[in-house]
Amino acid sequence: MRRPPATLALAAALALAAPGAAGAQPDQQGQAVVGGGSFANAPLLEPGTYRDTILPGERLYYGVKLAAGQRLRFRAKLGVERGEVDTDTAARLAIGLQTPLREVITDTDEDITGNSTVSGVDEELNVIFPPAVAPSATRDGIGDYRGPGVWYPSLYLPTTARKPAKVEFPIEFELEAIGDPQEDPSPEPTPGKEATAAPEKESGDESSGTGAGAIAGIGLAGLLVGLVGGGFAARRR
Amino acid sequence: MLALAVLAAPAAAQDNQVEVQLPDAEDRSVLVILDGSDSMNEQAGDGGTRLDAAKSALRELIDVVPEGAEVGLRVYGNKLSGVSRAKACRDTTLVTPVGPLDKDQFRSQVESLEGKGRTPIGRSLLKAPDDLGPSGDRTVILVSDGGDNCAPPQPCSAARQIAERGLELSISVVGLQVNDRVRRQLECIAKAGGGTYVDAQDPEALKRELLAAFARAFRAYEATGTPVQGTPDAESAPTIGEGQFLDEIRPGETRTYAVDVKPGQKLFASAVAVPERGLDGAGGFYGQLITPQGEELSEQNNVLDYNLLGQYGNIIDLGMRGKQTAAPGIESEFQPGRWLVRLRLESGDLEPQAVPVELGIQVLDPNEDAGEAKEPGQAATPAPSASATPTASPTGSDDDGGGSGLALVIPGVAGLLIGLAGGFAAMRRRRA
Repeated sequence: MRRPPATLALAAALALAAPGAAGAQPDQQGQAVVGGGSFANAPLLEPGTYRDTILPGERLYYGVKLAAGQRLRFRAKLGVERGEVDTDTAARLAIGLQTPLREVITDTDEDITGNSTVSGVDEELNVIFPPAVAPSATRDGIGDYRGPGVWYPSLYLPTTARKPAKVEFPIEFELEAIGDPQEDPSPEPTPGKEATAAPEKESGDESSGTGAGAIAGIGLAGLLVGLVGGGFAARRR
Repeated sequence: MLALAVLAAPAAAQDNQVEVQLPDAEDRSVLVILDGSDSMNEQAGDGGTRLDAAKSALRELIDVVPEGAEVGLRVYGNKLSGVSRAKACRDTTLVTPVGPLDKDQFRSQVESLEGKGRTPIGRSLLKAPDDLGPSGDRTVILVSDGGDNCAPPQPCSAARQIAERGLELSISVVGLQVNDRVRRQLECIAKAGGGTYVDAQDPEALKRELLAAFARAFRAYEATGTPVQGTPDAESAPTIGEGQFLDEIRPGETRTYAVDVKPGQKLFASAVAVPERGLDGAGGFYGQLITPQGEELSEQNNVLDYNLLGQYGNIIDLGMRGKQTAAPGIESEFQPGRWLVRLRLESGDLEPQAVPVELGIQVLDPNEDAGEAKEPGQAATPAPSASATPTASPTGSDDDGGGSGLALVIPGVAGLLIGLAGGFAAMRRRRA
């Protein structure tokens, strides 16, 4: 079996092309994007209009940050016309959303499409998902995590074929964060100053440095106390 | 894993850069067919020719494609000029055979290209299946600034003919500064070849679209993360940090991992099972967090059903959330220390095959938003053995800070004793 070599993470400079800007065909809406085949590869997107391609059986992941109080509006449609493509396959286009903990959201706030998450070839999917809630509303630990963070909108094209034909469908989609970010009315308490182990993200080096400093200080203090105490005891003798 | 950088409007796009990592792409190959005809000598609008723009795009592609990726290059119209039409229309050359990419060789071959002759697209396309081999997931990316002027064979018919020869071959096309007539022909090729057509009106757009087409050719779900092996029992569970880890679980197995949670922090975990297509059966996938005191938080579950997975190319996810732990000034029934993540895949009637699992770990500070947890996690440390002497190990302990307290007392007492001894010795010397 042929196999490419191990990981190489690389970056390329890319000119951002606004919709309709030079380089985009008049009917090519949005900016070219390559959705991730998995969460780990999902590009983190700003709200905007994008285009990608999708294969039958493929599921594409994107990331978008939502603050508490914001709802994600997700619109998508295939960039094809009726009669151009395998209509049966294309009509199964669906969109989904997964939480920052990658749980599948099955409910919508508003399904403008009117037929859940499945569209016909020339229809547009248009769904508004429930808002991200304040972290304090997630503290009961019940149900999916719906707090702020990186959410994962996804596009998929289901197929019953075990080995579907390789046919790329152009796809256009728009992500919009609706609503202003809201403050958490009941933020989590932070540890008091007397805390000996502050819950701060730290590297192993920093951590050991802090620990070593504390140990050295206490050792030195002990040494001084011992010297004074020893001297005092010897004098009394 | 094959990694390639490609476009997007990234959240951190100030420098207009974004990185897309592509998964391992077994048995995949890409053939780039490039227009080397005379029209490629026309100005591209940036001071260079269209061929310069194509070379620049290929150079960038070479830079980001890992050594050894299965890539080939066919060029038409770049060898013969001033010859008969019949001769010029046979001018199509497999410059770089499809195989593990030798970057230096590829680079020098690209640099030596010249724009000379005609545009035998149809004839070039018909050679693609042989270039790519008879099997595997194969992609042709055609880059052209003009339409075929050598037909027959008609390029659209050629594309259709190729598509019919194999289910796993598609042809995508990037049109470089083309007019409407040429665009229609190139769009026809893409449609007939099961691919897509995009316009590139300038060199930057060409670069972007070529990279995107290439990235898509290698896109697939492949589980990733720092390898870790969970254990059936809590005592021997490896301690892991934040980030994404990769393990596998078989039907009937339990996997346990330990995570240190400091005072005031909370643990979030996700588990994504990534089964292969084509398997049969169904079974429950369970995930649970366990506190340092042994309390089991509510179990999450989902059904791993191969029949559904076959239809939806799906994966199965579980999300697990711990609550904020106690700290000075923070009241909580949950204590910091060594938390456990436990995953279980019930036997059901699943085929006894290992299922890759991505484990995402986030240890969140107070009021910190949940992040992505997709970077490879910190390597696991083996579990402390039961007979080991307690130390101030950063892996933490069940008694929350007991170990670190001991670590502070020992040097203090040692300093005190040394000081006392030193004090006695000094006074004795004085008296003597």
